[in-house]
Amino acid sequence: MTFTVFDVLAWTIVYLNFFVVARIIINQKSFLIKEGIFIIASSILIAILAVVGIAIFDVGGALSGIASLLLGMLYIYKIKAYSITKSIILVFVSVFILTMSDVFAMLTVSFFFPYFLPSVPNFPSPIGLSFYDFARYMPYVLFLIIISALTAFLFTLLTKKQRRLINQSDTAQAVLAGISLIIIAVMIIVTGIWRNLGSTIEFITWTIVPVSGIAVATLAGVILYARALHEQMVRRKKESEQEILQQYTTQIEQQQGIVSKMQHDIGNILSSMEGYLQEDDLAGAKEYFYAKIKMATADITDNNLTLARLANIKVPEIKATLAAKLAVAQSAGIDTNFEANDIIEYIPVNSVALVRMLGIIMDNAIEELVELGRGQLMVACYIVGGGVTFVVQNTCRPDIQKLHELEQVGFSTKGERRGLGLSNLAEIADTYPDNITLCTSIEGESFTQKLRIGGVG
Amino acid sequence: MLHILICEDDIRQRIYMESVVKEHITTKDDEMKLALSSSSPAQILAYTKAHPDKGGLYFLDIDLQHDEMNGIELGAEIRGIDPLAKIVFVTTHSELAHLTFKHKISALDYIVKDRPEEIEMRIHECIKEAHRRYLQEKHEQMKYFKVDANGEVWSIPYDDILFFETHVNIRHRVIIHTENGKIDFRGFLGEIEKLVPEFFRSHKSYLLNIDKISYIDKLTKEAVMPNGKRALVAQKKIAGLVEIIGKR
Repeated sequence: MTFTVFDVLAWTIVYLNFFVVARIIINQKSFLIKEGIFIIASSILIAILAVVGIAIFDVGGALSGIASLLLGMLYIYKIKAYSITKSIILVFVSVFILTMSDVFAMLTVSFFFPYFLPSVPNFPSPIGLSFYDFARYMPYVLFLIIISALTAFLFTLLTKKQRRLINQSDTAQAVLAGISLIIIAVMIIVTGIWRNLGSTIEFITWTIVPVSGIAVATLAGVILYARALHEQMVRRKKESEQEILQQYTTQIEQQQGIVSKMQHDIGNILSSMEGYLQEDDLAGAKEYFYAKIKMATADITDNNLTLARLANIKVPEIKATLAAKLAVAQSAGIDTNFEANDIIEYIPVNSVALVRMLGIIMDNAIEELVELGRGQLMVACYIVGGGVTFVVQNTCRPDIQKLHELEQVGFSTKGERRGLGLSNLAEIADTYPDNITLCTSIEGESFTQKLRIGGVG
Repeated sequence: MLHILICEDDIRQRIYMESVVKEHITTKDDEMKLALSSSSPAQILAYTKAHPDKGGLYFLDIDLQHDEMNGIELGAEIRGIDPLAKIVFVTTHSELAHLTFKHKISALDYIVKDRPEEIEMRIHECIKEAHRRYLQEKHEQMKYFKVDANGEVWSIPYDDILFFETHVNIRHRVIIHTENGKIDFRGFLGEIEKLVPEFFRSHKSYLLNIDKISYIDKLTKEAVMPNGKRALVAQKKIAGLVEIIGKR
């Protein structure tokens, strides 16, 4: 069969339409020049493959179909920087919308304006178009573009919430992508058979109906799953907030305990001093002062220091976490030092995530110190450059030198997943905040983790 | 010439510190000078602004009786103007903030006032160390890679870096592997490659410090570092890398 330049032109427009649909579904605001070039070049390439496939190799739309899937995925994955699973899903949705629109447009046009359809040779895989055929074909193509773009737009508008749900779950994405791949494969095979069946009605019966059935069922299933997951997450968040509140309350009770003990001590000291003074025993008073009081007050100020510095932290859940972990360390007999010279009122990150990460870092430090049976825990937080930096430093075994080996087995000896790296921390914290930087280092016997939460922007 | 500055609002303490510094300088008055001694952070800052990039030595009292600024804040301001400044905090035991000095201000050292018997010796030590660094900085330009930790800059000497690696499963994340640790930050290996032309792109996901490679494991196609860390090398880059290491 011979083909003409109008064939290529017609097919290019159809595949441009495919990318337009994909672009609408992606729903991003930015548009890059390289993106435009990629779309146009891909459309022309696919169109040539389509025409060559039909005219020379007689494989119908198989070549161009596969090429359009691959290039569509490449477009979403490479240029739009989505993950592979999302690329598969988005390409499938685009193909699906385009196919549905095509069927709708074909039925509408053939019903109301049959003039525009049947005399085009080999329709719906036109080949050997003259300019006249091409011009006659265009109203249908334009109609298709409008219908598919509208459908894509409506789809984007209506599924916003569902997409957000699916975005949160890797499993849901993987299931959707898998089903998409299966459906695409089925469509390619059935389309091949359909070339022998020939009629539009049979195509609709054998392809569109089952495929839409599967697609809708899967989508419904996945959305239900994602919703359940979302509810679980909300519940867990509530629970962890409750846990934090609980810790905070415990901490306040402990602080009250310390204060009342101090009052008691001071009362005792005063009455003892009074006893010495009443008996005019200056030597005894002197001895008592240096032996007992000086020591006791040193103790009190050291304890108070941590409490006083905690007062600078105005974010309640962070204050509670720090207080709780420092209290744990102190009660385990660890020499603990806390620094907060800046007043911290706001931390630009999801506080549940931060509380967990900070908790894990401090737990790891305390665990190591308990195991070691000596050493010091130092914690500092300060403001710089519009963000907050937390530094946790602990004494560690001198043989913990190979950080990367440590990481592979997981830091905790208790078999819990409490790794060192940021991705491990983040995995436990459910989210991966973009504005976080983590530095882990070992120098001699001191192990330091520095968690930086950057300012907004 | 190493400039030495003192900011202390207790006049007795200040005069004492001045005398210790002057005593140290007398033997080396062509190499260092007491540039300014004051109770006012504003005066110190004005001097730093007028002489940026001097890499001067600052003795800063933490508890300045000035409402607008304490010693740590003053230190942070000085650090912002002069990255080479050598800052020493003079502090009481209760104000001691070891980690904050080290990480926020990158302080050279601190002197604890509560132990008067040690102050003189510690001042001498600090001046010696600051002078040593001052001379070193003058002779060799240390190269640093600056990690933008969202508003805080972490400078890592090239000499500490083993290699850069892109994160396996999180996009736009890069890990710097150093001699004794690692840093996980937001970045793009392609952009970093342009910043550090001395480094070798051995693989799509790896950028190596050539000086740090112990040997190439051709079997596993990995470059092995002195501490045993391993980085991937693409098949087509192996020959080139072996040649470069040979010339080293």
